[in-house]
Amino acid sequence: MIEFRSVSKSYGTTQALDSLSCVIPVGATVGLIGPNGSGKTTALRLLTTLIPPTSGDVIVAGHSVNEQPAAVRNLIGYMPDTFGVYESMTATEYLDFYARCGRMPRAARAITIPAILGRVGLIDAAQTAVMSLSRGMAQRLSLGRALLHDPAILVLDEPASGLDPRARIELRSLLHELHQHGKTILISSHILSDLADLCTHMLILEHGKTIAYDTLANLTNATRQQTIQVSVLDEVPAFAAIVATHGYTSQQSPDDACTYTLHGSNAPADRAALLYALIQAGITVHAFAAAESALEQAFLQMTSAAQQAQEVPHA
Amino acid sequence: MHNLNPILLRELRGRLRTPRSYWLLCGALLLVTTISMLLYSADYASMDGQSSFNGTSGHTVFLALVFTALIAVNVIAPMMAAGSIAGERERQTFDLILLTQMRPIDIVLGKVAATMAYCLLFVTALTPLMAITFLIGGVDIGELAIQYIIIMSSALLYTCIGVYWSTRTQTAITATGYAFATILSMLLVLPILVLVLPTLLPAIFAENTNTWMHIMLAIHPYASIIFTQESLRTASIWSEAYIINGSTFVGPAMWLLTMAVSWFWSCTAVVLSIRRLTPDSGKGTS
Repeated sequence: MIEFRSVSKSYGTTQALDSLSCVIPVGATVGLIGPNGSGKTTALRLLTTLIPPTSGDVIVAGHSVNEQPAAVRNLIGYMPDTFGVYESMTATEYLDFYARCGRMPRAARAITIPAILGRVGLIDAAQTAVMSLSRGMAQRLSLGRALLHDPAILVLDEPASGLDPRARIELRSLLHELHQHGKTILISSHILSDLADLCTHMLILEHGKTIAYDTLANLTNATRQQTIQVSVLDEVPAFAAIVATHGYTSQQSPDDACTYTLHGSNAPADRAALLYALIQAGITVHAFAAAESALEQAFLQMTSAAQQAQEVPHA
Repeated sequence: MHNLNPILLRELRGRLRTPRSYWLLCGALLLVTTISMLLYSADYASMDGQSSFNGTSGHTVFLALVFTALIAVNVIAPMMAAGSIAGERERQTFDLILLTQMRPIDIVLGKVAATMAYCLLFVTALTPLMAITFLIGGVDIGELAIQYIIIMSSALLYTCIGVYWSTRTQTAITATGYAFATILSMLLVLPILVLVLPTLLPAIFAENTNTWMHIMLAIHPYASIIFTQESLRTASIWSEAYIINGSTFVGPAMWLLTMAVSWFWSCTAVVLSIRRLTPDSGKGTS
């Protein structure tokens, strides 16, 4: 179990993380989402003991990051957002170097390294120079390095960034497999569809503050029930006014002026009344359904609500 | 190889596999060979047809080799050492090492040993040239060994200074700049002080110039080589006479002082580097 206890981190006057508190159960896959600068990487680096908290503590399987950083490090496999390259090393030598740094005995290295290369699908690239690996292969090698000492917890910072669709799918299936093996996984990403597929829990951060932390099911259900996606044939200036009279707020899609996301009552009667009113007003509705990408909606709704709350004191 | 520090092993492999290291070594050896050849030719020409197989020629070429090797090592050591940890930060590989079971002392000693191994490789590669001067004559084996000790002590000190700056900065170029600034300050400021202090503080320095000069310049490898050459002709290999307030004392030879001072400051730089990397300090890991 991982417990963040009112953890804050500031750099000078900048508050990178503000009183983060949450409990992550064993075996959970937690997605950290938030805009750039929201504190995701800071939270992950605090957990890995790479940076000390300004206040608060993180307890990892009973060990404090402040008091027992070495014990915490033994439990964690970390994959940073960038893949640091050592020139002229082969994939096997790369893993061998980190295994030696982890004081793994020679006999164990001889068994573990080929096994890891096989697990991440790089057995054919074992003697390939690291710097000549594709981005996807390099990411898998980086994940392999994080798995070398068979850690109970995996911390992955933007693992899918810059990957092509095939590499993303391969990485996702690898993470699914690791989750099934009981690993606790913390993963930060901007690709919400990947997180929706992988995660059991979501932590939403913005400006260092915790916007939400719950199971994926709870977060998305709450949003899905209150969100309707409406598509009309032509742009209608009066659309917002009509939906507002029925107690719904509307948000026009930035990509498509004829698509709206509505938030409001989830009662079937209210929705039916709204649809009827739109048709009565002569609006040609060709799609009217609960929002499909619930995680994206949850994220947008929660972060914009937080933004509005933040703007109120300034108004 | 099994119990070798993994940082040392990786650095050696990484360095020696790149063409840059190969060409650096070849270039430095070519430079040293060219200089010694030119000096030998000039010395031979000045003898006006007499046999050049005498002690003066051998000694001149030997000193030229020692000084050139010292200059090369003084450039190579801080340049390589300064990039060692700061370069890892730039490549973003340093965090991953910190998360392993490598202790700060392992990291720092691995980096120092890797640079020293490269310097040793360079100095060893010069051995055939040094051997020629030994065969010509005018140089004995003890003198050769002492100059090697001064060169390697100086390499150790400059490596440790490079590693120290590498732990303090985020980029290799900044660390290299600070390392060379520190070394140049030592090389330039100390001789100036030796010249100026007897005038400024005559009561302390004027009567004991020789003693103070030896003590202050012990950290200066070029001065140490010159003083050692002089004292080897007149005094014992292990000791020499120091005059303090009119009384003569027998103390350690200049090269021993150089070795002791270099090792002391090297150890100090290593300890400071380890402190920088210790997570409790909250500096090295961020």
